[in-house]
Amino acid sequence: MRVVVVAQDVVTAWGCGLGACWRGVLSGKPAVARIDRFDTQSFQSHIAALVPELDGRADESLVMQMLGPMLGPLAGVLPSGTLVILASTTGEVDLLERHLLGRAATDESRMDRLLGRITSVLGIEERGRIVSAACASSSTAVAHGAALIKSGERESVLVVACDAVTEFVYAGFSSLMALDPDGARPFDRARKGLTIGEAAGYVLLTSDAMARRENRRVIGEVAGWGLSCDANHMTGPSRDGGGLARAIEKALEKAGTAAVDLGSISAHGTGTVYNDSMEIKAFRQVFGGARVPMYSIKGSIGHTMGAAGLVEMIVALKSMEDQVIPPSANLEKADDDAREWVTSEMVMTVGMRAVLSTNSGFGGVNAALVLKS
Amino acid sequence: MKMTIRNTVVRGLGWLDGRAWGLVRQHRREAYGEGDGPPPWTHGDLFSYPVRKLGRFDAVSRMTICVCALALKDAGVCSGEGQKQDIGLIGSNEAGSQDANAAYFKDYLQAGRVSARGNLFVYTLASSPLAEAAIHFGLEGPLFYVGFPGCGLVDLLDEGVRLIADGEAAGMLAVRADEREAIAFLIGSAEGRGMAVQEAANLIRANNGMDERVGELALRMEERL
Repeated sequence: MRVVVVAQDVVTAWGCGLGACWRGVLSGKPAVARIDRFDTQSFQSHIAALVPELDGRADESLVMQMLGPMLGPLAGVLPSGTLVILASTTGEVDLLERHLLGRAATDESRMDRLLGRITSVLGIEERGRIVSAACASSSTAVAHGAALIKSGERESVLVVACDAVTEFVYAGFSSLMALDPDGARPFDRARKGLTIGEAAGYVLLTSDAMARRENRRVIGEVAGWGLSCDANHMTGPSRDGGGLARAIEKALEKAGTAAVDLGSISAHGTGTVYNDSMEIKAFRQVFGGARVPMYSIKGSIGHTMGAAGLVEMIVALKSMEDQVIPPSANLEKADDDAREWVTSEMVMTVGMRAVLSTNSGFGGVNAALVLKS
Repeated sequence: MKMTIRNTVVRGLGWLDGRAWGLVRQHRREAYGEGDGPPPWTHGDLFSYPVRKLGRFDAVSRMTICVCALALKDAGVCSGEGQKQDIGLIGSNEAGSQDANAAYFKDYLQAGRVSARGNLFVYTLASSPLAEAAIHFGLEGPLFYVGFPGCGLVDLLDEGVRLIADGEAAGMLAVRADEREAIAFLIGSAEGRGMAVQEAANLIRANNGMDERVGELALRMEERL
């Protein structure tokens, strides 16, 4: 049984929809702005990739402002029996901020309440489930959903991912000295940290049989997935890339895909020294001398945390559709290890039918997805 | 034969709450001494080597690492420092990282909204308590938090079974840990040694000395078996 993507949407700092995101990513420019949502004076950086027109003082949380307009049109058109999986790191944590700052009487930020709001917008009675694996949350959720479909337990799974730029998150990353005040430069020799971003999106996964039966257009296939943990450190990746390499190998094996079949790699590429170095080591372990073109979109749309994997998956599917490998924004001089793998220019290609997308996160979690057109 | 929860083996099953702890396969139940209170236990009692920075762990992380230690001990799995195991770790609880989130942000506000504490920030992820356990025990399989309606223990076991069947790891620790009570199953394929999930459920049903609240939690397994 094949697991296919039959619907998707995304909102990023480039605006609503995949079209805006894709054009922005291809521009090679960063969608980064100075933060006016909260005071950043004491922080390491003052910029983020913010979704236009989100209102931190609105009744709705930031993530529901992103999700509501996107999910509303799905009500009544999802296949019956669709399971909703919510992937996020902090969800509506801005509601907790408001409560603790005395602006709201109660704390409504629990993740299961957000899941309830989402299923309510979708008109689905089943309560769904939450998957959280740090910055690999949404790729892990896609793997979870795909496994449910492949095992025959479900025919249709909607993975919804979201995270917002909040004072809560920004202060935390700043305290870890993980931010680059000039903007993330994934795989650049001078990289020194990440740019926080926000995003929301969804992918509707079904069995290929259901897609045929319901005459739904197939956007692509989730052909393989692999999950692992470095079991090494809470905030830093394993230096040798062994954990990510294991996840990639599992994903390739499930997909029945060899390195030579891969047209590109959508790397996690946060722009931190250790993450990017670890990823290259992992790719070298798995692919040896076979250099697969690699890119990161985090220089463009920031690190969207729990939503990153889903947004990157959607962009990777688009790259196969258009046969274009996106540029890595802000890349000026590639790190020695990354040279010959990564480019700041978009690359037109032909015959790209399979791509790899990887994510990693705090606690040493790793997720790898093999996507096919 | 398709691997399901019915033909999965429970290699180890540990639990603890505010009054006692237990190893189900080994039929052990120990109450804390007067005034001892709940874990963390020190090196030697439960852990073969010291847990780094245990004092900095949040409450759920302490419960998680202790209950994982109990399940591994019940299974006879030894873990030396630096040793890696082909075991994954999935977990669930009532409120995710809600308490850790509040603790972190209150601390930040009390510090004048100028600087946050990184060692509190890391626990604002629901997967962090699992990660602490994975790091200590060298568990290299999949790791994620999964929240189900009603925090169904059987749903968690189902997910663990699926991950093993899917080739993600040879064994899975399925952990339900809150601040005051926790239970952990180490499951594997039927080729390994252990007891059937049904047998584990029977032992839990017979209470096995397990505290009432933990027993109630585990009894939800019955609904699906």
